Amino acid sequence: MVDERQEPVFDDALFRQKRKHGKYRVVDAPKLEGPVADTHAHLQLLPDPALALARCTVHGVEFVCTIVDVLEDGSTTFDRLNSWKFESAAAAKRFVGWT
Amino acid sequence: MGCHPHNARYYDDGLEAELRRLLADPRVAALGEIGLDYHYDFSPRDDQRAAFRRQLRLAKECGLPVALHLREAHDEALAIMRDEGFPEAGTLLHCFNLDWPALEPWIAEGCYVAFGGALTFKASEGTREAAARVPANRLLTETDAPYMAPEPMRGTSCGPAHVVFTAERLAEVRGCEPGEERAAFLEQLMQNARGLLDRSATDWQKEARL
Repeated sequence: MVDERQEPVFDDALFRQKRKHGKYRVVDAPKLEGPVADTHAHLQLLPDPALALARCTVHGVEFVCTIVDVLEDGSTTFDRLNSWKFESAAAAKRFVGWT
Repeated sequence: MGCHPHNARYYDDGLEAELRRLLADPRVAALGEIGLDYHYDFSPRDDQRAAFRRQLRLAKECGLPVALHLREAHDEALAIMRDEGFPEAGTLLHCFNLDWPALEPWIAEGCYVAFGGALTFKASEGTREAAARVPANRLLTETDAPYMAPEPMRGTSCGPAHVVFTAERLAEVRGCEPGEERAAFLEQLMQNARGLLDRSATDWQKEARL
């Protein structure tokens, strides 16, 4: 049985709005004229940081500053950040059909 | 990189030593999120004030800007900042969701303010009015992902890419029409973000790595 409260991890770059009974509706992304920055995200709290960064690539989010708490977060972000970047590049190519 | 006010009760010399070690990584661009959270009060307020002051001094020693988390404590935080002195490298108010009277004194001190998903919420008219009044060179966008997904995805898990919805709404609030006007506005926002956070290693970071 699927838990409807648990959000699935979608392997694409679409934005989705949650509907009833575990359904999702795709939302059109804004068509902006230039890149955007996210100056405060908690990448390591995301279910798949590399996929999240790949979506940034597709949608023109060119700068992301991720937050680390010295007590709670340990060294995960420091250890994994470079890997997330490489993994996200591969995922972004998949999202836009380059691979 | 910092100690959140929720965790201030654990801030001691040992935790500060670990914080110093991690701040030395040249990828660290700011000290934060730090501040006061009197909504949840997960740490005693005296502990929050002490950790906040110690980290402000540390930020100045390291030459890094600070990213502030403030909840139901803006007035007291401002008094502490004025008492300690604002870091030369900059001060960023993260996830601002109040109105202009609450924001104005921070802007007068030269702080940056970051707007996230809350800017898009139906009931956030006061926040949008504040966003409209901030000087363009002090405006930033953020998500606070995985929290605070903007409309129309509110209630779902937020990712950093969702910031495009907030940027679109912010441009609308500022009266920037799609096209050249909005392009110039987005360029300004990116300049603000990179100017504050896309920084070279500070002298302190270089020396700490030797």
